[in-house]
Amino acid sequence: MRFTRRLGDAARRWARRRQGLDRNPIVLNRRRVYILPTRQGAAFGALLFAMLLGSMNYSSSPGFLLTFSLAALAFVAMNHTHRNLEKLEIRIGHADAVFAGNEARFPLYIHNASGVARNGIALDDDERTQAVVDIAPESAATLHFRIRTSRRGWLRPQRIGLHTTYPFGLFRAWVWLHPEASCLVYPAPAEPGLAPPVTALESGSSEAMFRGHEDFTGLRAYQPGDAPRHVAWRASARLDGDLLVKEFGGGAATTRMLRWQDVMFERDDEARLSRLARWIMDAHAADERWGLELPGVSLPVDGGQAHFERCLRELALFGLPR
Amino acid sequence: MTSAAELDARPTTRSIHVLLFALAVLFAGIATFTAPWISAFAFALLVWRGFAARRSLRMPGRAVKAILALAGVLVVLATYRTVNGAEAGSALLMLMIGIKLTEVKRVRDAVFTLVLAWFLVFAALLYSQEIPFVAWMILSGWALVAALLTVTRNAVQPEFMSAFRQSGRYLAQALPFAVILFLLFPRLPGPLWGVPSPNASGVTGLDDSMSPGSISRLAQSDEVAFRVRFDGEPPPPAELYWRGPTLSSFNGRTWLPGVVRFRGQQRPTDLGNAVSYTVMLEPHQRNWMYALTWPASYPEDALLTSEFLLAARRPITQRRSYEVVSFLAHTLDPELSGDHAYWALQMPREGNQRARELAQSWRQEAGNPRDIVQRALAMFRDEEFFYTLEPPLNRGDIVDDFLFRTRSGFCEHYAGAFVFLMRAAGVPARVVTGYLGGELNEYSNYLVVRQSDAHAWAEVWLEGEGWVRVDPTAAISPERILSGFSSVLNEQQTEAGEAGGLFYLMVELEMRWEALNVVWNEFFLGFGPETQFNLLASMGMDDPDWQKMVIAMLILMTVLGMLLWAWLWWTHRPLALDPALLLYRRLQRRLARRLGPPRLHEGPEDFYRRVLHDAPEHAALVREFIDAYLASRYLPVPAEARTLAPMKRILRRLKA
Repeated sequence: MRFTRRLGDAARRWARRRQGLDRNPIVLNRRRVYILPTRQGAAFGALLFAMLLGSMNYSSSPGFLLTFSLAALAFVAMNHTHRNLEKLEIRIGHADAVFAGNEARFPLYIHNASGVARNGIALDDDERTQAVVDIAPESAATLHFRIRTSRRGWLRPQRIGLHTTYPFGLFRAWVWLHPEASCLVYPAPAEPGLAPPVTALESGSSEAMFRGHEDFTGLRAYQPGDAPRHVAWRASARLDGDLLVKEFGGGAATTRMLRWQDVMFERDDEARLSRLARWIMDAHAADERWGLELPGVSLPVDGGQAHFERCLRELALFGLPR
Repeated sequence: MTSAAELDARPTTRSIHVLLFALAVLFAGIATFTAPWISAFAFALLVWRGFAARRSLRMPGRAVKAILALAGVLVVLATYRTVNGAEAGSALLMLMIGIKLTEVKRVRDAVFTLVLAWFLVFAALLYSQEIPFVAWMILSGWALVAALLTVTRNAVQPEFMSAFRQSGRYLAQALPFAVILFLLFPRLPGPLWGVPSPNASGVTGLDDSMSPGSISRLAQSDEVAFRVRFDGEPPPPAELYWRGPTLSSFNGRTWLPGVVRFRGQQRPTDLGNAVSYTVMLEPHQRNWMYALTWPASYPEDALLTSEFLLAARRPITQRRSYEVVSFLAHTLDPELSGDHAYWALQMPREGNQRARELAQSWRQEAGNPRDIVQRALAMFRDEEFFYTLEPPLNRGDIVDDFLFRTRSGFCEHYAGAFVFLMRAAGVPARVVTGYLGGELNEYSNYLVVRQSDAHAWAEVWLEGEGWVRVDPTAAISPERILSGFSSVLNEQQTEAGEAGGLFYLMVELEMRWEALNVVWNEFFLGFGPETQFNLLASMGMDDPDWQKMVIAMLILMTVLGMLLWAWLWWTHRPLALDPALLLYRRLQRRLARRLGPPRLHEGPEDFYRRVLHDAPEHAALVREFIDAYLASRYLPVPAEARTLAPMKRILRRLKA
């Protein structure tokens, strides 16, 4: 078991060196589609061998016919399995930024430009199969390659596998993709509870510019970062899948300055970044306005989605090479 | 590895049902030869598994499975007294597959079940090779392939019929490869390990001994002993004495072979009336190969004995076909020498006294051995001798008892008594067993010889003539033949005329079916080293040997493989894009500097909106281009009316 694992790792490293980094679109050509019998294929081969010996011993013509038919079937199936991946055109997109601990989802757009269906195309990470899809002739499918994140910063999938055992599961053809796609991982937000210090109150701006939560003004589409309590569940249920959030107008918005020196009570930098991430999330959810000050970085007070993302990006890349 | 995860998945209800369907088809075929309770047991397991899949029942525990498995083995043992052999083995395998189904929880188990099922098909094909059975097994194999296609696809499963269609397509692609392998894979002449023991039921053909009842037991059997195809006109039926073992030693009850030697290749010059034919011999677990006397040309691995019997080096355990040239005009052993002379006159020292006395009286009265033979035949013809399949039992001195008391018997009684009389009268004689005649099939010029055609006759040695065939059974007058001698000796043909059209139709259908069977036996079942060499020689291969065969096989497989490769390349190639689409992509690339790379999700109208926003100076041209593009792609105009000229013009202007 350990030996096969090490062999597999060596094969993966070899393929990485051989293939280099992939640029969109990735067209799967013959050179990069590998194929081996599966375990069932090996069992099938043993069956064929036993039947061949039996046929020879008993000079059984029907036995020979059965043996050779199944062997020919396996051979034909091997060719089909190999071709099943060939000439697929793949584009791998960047994943939307996520908080550490959540899943990064890299969209994988697989285009089958040929006139035959490509069935049973499976998406793998190094441990398991994540999804299986059938792609009709001249059409495309989108799969999502998922990686559970743990650290903030840029995340790149080392390797994305695609495999197929179609049609009979006797052979397994696969490709290894080494995409350029990346995902920005924000620090995991700290546990809620501790409110940020109110450092300044800014006034004078037009109240209508800010969205508070006093008076309900209407519904809009959900955006990442919206507070769950603003979701209009009942209204959303009437639509399929899309969440709606209630918008409120009026009321004075709180304005805060979130500063590195205010989180020095946390034990290390990561915990400090997490704390700041939590405060940014809370402020955004409460439709407040805030500014961010980190060593070497200063973002002026602002609000809204773009500001929210910019701040989290600074936290994610704090102290890391850009 | 990832495939392990897929194997661990639970098979869907549909894939279980397709699997069960395929197994039901297979079991239905196996049930034709296994005991009914075993088939019922296996089908009960199938039905239970079907319900369990639908109702999501729990699978039985280990104890229940162990009890089922033990019960299966015991039932098979109780039925067949063995678990070996094609019949008992198939029955056991069928039960084990049924029991295995109770623990099919994963795709892995389902695949393993299918592997077992294919092995069952194989075992069953060792048991029976009749055309309908083989056809049914082919159907079962197809169903098993469809089941494999379904169970290994847990994501999106094909519809029931579509699984059959798809697997049929794969099988059709595999067929040419299978045919080449079948024809060119070198066949070995003999078994690799122990040959199967003779069939337990025992009725496989002639024995190498003869006692009252030993041939009549075959007379009831309709089984085919062998088939013969003549290269030219077949000889008249009365000449068709297919020679089996010669029996020279009599111990008072049983006739046994005397000393048998191999004859060597020399042959006399006075042979004539050559007949050339091919015999397709059913396995009978004995060495001998039936032929007409004198077989002068025969397969290399056969030997001719001193008693003109063709013998293979090994027992015939597989159907085998061989070509023989026989000379019907011949003189067998003009000189009778040494121990042959001894065995031709050997008798027990005492017993059958009345027969001895009768023979002595003939010897004194008749002038020469020829007359003695005539006296004996005249006795069978003129006195009250009856021919019957159910002769009364002979006790004590069986020759005396038959000649003077019961006077009715089967060919072995007549042949045995005749030879005894001849020897008692001093005429060298011996018993020859074999088959007589056969049924001529007018559709393919061949003869079917069945076990019921088994026969025993006599040979007497006459000075100057050698061994001469005498058939005492033929001497009995026709009105005393009590039950049918299904071949040339009685006139069965007369019945047909009276029975009318339907009878003829039945006879004709049977004849045609038999003709098909001959082709099946000769060209498919009998396909072995000899037929393989003959076929390849007739296809133009000089002096075929296995090396040439392997080379030819590899070449043909490569050629076929390349054809498959090219065909798959063609079907899997990306289809050509619409030229208008190609032009549109060029437009997108041309504007990429201003607008960024093309966006996959963006339609032409959205693209135009972006142009309007980010590169307004090109908006008018792009609008014109997109109108032309949309018209070309989507307007219902005939292809010849479509023109790409406006788009090309705009692209040129954009470049400028």
